[in-house]
Amino acid sequence: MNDNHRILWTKDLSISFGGLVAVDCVNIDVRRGTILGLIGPNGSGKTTIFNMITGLYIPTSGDFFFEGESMLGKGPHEIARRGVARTFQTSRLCLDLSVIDNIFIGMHPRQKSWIIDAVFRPNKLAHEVSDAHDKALFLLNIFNKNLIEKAGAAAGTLPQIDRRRVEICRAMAMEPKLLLLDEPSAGMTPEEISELMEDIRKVQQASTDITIVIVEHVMSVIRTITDHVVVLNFGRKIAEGPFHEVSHNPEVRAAYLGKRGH
Amino acid sequence: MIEQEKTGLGSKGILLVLGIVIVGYALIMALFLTDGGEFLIGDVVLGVILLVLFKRKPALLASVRQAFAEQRTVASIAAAVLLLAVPFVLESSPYWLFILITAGLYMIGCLGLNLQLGSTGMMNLASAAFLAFGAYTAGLLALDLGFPSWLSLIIGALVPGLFSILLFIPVLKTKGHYLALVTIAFQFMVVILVENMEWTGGPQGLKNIPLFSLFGYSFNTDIDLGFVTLHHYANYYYFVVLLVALLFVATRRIYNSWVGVTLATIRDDEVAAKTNGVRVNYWKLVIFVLGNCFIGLSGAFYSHMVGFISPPNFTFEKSLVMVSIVILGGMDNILGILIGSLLLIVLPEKLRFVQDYRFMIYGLVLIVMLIFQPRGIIPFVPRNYQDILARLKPARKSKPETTTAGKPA
Repeated sequence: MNDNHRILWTKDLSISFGGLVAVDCVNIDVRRGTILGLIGPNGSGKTTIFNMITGLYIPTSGDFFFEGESMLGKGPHEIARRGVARTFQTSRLCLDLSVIDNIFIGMHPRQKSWIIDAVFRPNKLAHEVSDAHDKALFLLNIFNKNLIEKAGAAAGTLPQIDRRRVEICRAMAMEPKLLLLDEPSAGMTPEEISELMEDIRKVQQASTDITIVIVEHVMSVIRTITDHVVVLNFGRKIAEGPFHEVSHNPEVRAAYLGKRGH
Repeated sequence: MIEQEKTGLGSKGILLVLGIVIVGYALIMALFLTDGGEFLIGDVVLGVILLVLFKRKPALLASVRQAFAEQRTVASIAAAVLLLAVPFVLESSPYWLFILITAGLYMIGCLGLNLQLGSTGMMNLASAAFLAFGAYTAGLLALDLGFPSWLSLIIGALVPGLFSILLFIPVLKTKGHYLALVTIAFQFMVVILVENMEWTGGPQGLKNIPLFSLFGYSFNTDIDLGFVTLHHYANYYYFVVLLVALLFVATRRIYNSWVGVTLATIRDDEVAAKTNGVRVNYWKLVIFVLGNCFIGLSGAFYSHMVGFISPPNFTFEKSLVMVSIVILGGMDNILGILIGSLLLIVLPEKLRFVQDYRFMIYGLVLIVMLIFQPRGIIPFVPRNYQDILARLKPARKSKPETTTAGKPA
């Protein structure tokens, strides 16, 4: 595949914890502008791959490239600043901070003023805060107008689904090129899940050149929104392709029915 | 006029704000002017009643907050006038003026410690060591090299900041309890060094440090106003009030900026901060240095005020008092830090009448407070950007107005 067509790819990406090989020589290509689904049974290494791609874990061997450049050994903040945003399986909002403050953090790499400006140039700061405020409200508006009323409330007072929405807003506030969603539907009711899929579509519409990788257990989500699916089992890639092809793959079916591959 | 139309509480709000400020002030001053424990008990009971009331009826607290937010100017002017009047009120008891200055010095140091511990979540149990750095730097510069006191005060604030870079390497590599242990170790190392080195005066410490003077005016002269003569502590009092006010405004602005939000995110969830592009180590270093500069300033001020410093001034106990102030006042709660300093410094002095039991009562108050108000004296509310956004409103409004005014009708 041409390098220009893929925004992210991994090359024999592996990591082991102690003696346990959690991810074993996984090669994934993520095509620009698509939605890739990463599926597999519990413990198959999906979140671990996210953690490596975002720099939280350092791979034991192998390499991964973002926009043609190796990100191996780069810190999480460096990778984030290049345009990789993510959400977490259990949402990692700061529950004491307001919804607005949580979204502000997503804009952090773009904020220019420093402590000196905060103390001595309140007007410059006020302009920056005001712009960020408008942008945060704009983002909240895209997702759910009800969230705007709760913008000043502590994030901890929101129900689970709203927290996840705010977390996606925070990730979108970074204006990322690549968005990694880690099980966004965990713990949601079917109605909430369909709302969530609506949200993800809105994300894609709001920013045309965004690429999304989604880890998900709920197959209806994967079936409806992904262009391409990668299936993992025991840290290895066992299949990939469009969902309707992959779902008929006998090895994938075996993995999901609990049989150990071959 | 316009102000009044905007406010929801109007003149009622002004009365409420003035009432709270004046009554609070009178009760505190009465504490200093009486010898016995009657006012202490009265104040404590009143404080407890207020805390319980506010806890039961959050709406009441919200309206008090709103009144203060609306009448900020009135509240600030009233507070400023009353603060300036303190040396006159305490004219006959310079001892309490001295205690208030000490509380002010703790406020300066604790505002710095709050940046580290409260805002960013970095435990620093070596604050007394940084006090010592500031105090000894200022003392030695003035004593041995004849630096003017204003200059040694500034350098005394900067040197602890620079030295904290040295400690920062172990600070970065450790977290949580381990970080606390590292800073405790540093605290003991500094005190032992200061006690055993010759050029710091050893256990005897430094004597005869030049007292503070500015533009030839010695702070050691009483202020003679004709009708009343204020004790020379009044000079230090006014200076410390000025410093606390400046640092209060500065730290509030940091808190209410996106810098404050960044620090809070580092404190609450380092992983979330990193994956959102925050350079966590960089911010920790900046805040560690800045906070220790505040603490150093406090130490340097002390050495120029008292003129005598020795190792027992900077023991681990002092670090614990400072951490207690930040926790009791409320992590990341700047006004709470000021109240906490006042409470924890004045209370033990006022409790002298119960003699041996005073530290027991002091400890009891701490425990009770932490059980019933674990998040600090003043309850926490999320940041509110209305003030900052209001700053822009006149500018935004006036723009179209000026353009229409420019056009002939």
